[in-house]
Amino acid sequence: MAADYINCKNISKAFGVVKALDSIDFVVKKGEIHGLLGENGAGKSTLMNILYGLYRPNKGEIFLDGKKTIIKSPLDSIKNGIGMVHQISTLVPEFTAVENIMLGSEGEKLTLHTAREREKIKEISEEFGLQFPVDVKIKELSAGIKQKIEIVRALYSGATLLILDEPTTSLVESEFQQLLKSLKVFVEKGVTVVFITHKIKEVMEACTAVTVMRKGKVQARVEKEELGIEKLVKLMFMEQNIEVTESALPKVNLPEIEISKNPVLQVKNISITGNDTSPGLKDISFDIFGGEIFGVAAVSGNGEKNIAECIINPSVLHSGDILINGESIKNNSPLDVFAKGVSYTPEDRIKEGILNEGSIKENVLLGHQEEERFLKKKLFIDWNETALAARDVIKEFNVDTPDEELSMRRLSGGNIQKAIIGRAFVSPLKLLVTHNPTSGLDISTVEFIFKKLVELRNSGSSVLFVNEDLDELMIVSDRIAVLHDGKLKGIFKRSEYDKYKIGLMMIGG
Amino acid sequence: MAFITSFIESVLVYTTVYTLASLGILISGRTGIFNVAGEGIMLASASAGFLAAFLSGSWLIGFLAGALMGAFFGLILAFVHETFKVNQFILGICLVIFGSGLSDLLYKLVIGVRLSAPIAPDTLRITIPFLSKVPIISGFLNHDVIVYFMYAATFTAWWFFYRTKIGLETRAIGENPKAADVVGINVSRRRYLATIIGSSLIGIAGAYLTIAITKTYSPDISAGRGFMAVGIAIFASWKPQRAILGGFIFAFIEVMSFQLQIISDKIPYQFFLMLPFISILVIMVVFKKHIEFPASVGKPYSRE
Repeated sequence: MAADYINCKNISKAFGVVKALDSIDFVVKKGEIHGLLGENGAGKSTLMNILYGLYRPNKGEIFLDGKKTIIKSPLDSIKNGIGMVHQISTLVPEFTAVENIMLGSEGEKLTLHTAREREKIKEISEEFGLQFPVDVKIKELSAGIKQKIEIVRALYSGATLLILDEPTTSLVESEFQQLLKSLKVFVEKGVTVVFITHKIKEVMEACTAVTVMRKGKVQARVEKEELGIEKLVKLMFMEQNIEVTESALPKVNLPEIEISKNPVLQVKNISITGNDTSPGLKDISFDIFGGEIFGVAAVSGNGEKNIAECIINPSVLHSGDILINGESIKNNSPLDVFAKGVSYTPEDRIKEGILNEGSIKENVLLGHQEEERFLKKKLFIDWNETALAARDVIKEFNVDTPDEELSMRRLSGGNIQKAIIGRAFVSPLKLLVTHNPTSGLDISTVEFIFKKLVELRNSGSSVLFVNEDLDELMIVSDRIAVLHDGKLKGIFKRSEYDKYKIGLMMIGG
Repeated sequence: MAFITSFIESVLVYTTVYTLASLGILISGRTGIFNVAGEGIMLASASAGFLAAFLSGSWLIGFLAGALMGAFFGLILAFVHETFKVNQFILGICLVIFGSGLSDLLYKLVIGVRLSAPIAPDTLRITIPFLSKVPIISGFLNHDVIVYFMYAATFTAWWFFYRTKIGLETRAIGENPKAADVVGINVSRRRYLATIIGSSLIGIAGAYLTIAITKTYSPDISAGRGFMAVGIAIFASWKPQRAILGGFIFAFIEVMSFQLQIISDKIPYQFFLMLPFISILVIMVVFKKHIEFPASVGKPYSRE
């Protein structure tokens, strides 16, 4: 039996009044690839951020190699051989890989030996089989490459414990398989791995032991020989009565229905000029019919945001045309588009979706403010009518709030998302454009949102579902279009879905 | 030739003010602290520096007092921002008002009202053998010690940011404080240091106005130059080597506007006083595409 490498005892952490971790005991043994499994908001990242020194626990002790260790900052954890790859890239976009990896490490501060460090970095990346361009600015590299650089940065500063926080979020299937191979190399070279994920399938493929967390508590530590999908599902979701897939996503019933004869949305040869964060769009055409959920799969930053946005705001089009029910919307403002029965839930629900300080009622009105129903004498807002609509949204979409006057910022992420989607349903809806509607939400909310999308589809309307999670797309989409570098690479029917093939296409393969 | 040389000489005097102040602003800006309090710091340091120089009879003590006053402002700025996460711009404007009030108050408390204005002691002049006699070049090299200090400060700042690891780390904080934090760099401490060091440079620029240029104190002596320095730091894309260039350009425009006031009797002199401010607007618009900002400048950072 290997010795305990990490032993967290009785760790508790609260953010304000919200209890994020409640008396956590967590053990990792030397040489493990240890899965830390739990759904969004279970407290996995919080626990690892405590181990890495970014957060201070309110209570509890950490033992490393049997020795009680106090970790006050990332500097302490790095000195103790802990390295962490965060869910959101923590590289400096303006710097090269070499410059990024050099940062912070010990030694001479008043000189800059880039050439020497470059050699050292190349050695490490060769040793561990993680290749990347060392002298290109980070902002020009893909998510998969950035992750390799972050891993090498941790190894460079001597990490013997590597924490990977949801490393597969922006990886496609082939890249995940590559990562699996690397993990085995790490273990051979004496590095222990903690692998944070909410996907059971990944844990089954990658890990030699698993700790399951739920709502800030550890459910159990499961050894390799006891690992089983059903067991993990049970531990992850407990009494919740949700049928899940191997990726720990809710199963959704997608009945065969007749699609409309004429397309609801026609996109004809559209192009959009690119910029720093997006390649734009290059000559894209597709049709969406009534009664169809049309998925768009892309690695973040390949033009998928442009697809969603240009339908709502066609003025960004450089060339081409967009038709809704046969009518061109090329010269329409967003409000004109909304008036045609289109609605939109943006990618960043907090920054782009809501007025943080506004009430639920005010937020529900957004986008509908010029509809006759909400106007008195064609000029003044009818707040009574608005309140009625807001109450409907709250009821229909299970928004957890005492009333419609509560300020939006006081809702949880899931409730904000429910309110935003509910807002889209306030007026008759022919086409819903939705971008990453489920990111970061717990399974019951994801299931709820999926069901609403399918309901809309079954009623004969259309959904344009832009999503970065291919597993989710494959569950609820009738067709999936793959976007890479602003170009449409292909459209798959449900019968043709192949995770590996679509994934390759997403990275340009 | 003599005219050009003496023209350059006067330009260099103001280049010193602009460059030191904008260096001070860009140093903290590189860690994400946008110090818009430059005007207030210059005013307070102009007053404190002058008083110290006058009372002690030593130019050196005067400049040290100016730097110290700047450091004090930097400490307030960093402390209030890091502790209470107050918006940097609001904080900066408050410090401008504070500095402006403090400068007059200090002077009145110490000197009061006099018929003849008190005069500051002469600042040490350094001439370089031979070179200080060559026309035109001597315009750059026939100066008091603070001008040479400005040259050295610019070079040191460039060397620090682009030739040392600690400088690379400092730039990283300005781009992405989280990236610096996760590799074990103490973001808050670096922000304190940069703001305090930067503000003392602004303080020296302020003291230079009273001790070396006018040799006496008068209210509102910096006359918007602290704000111009913010503009120069932006124009310079927060790079020291470009700050000295920007400093020179605006000093050139300012000195030219003095000359034009004397030459022209048709156009009201207020028009020429306005020139530097108009030119910074024009230059900002023209160079808009070449201006880069550290990504995190102006934004507070906290882990949780």
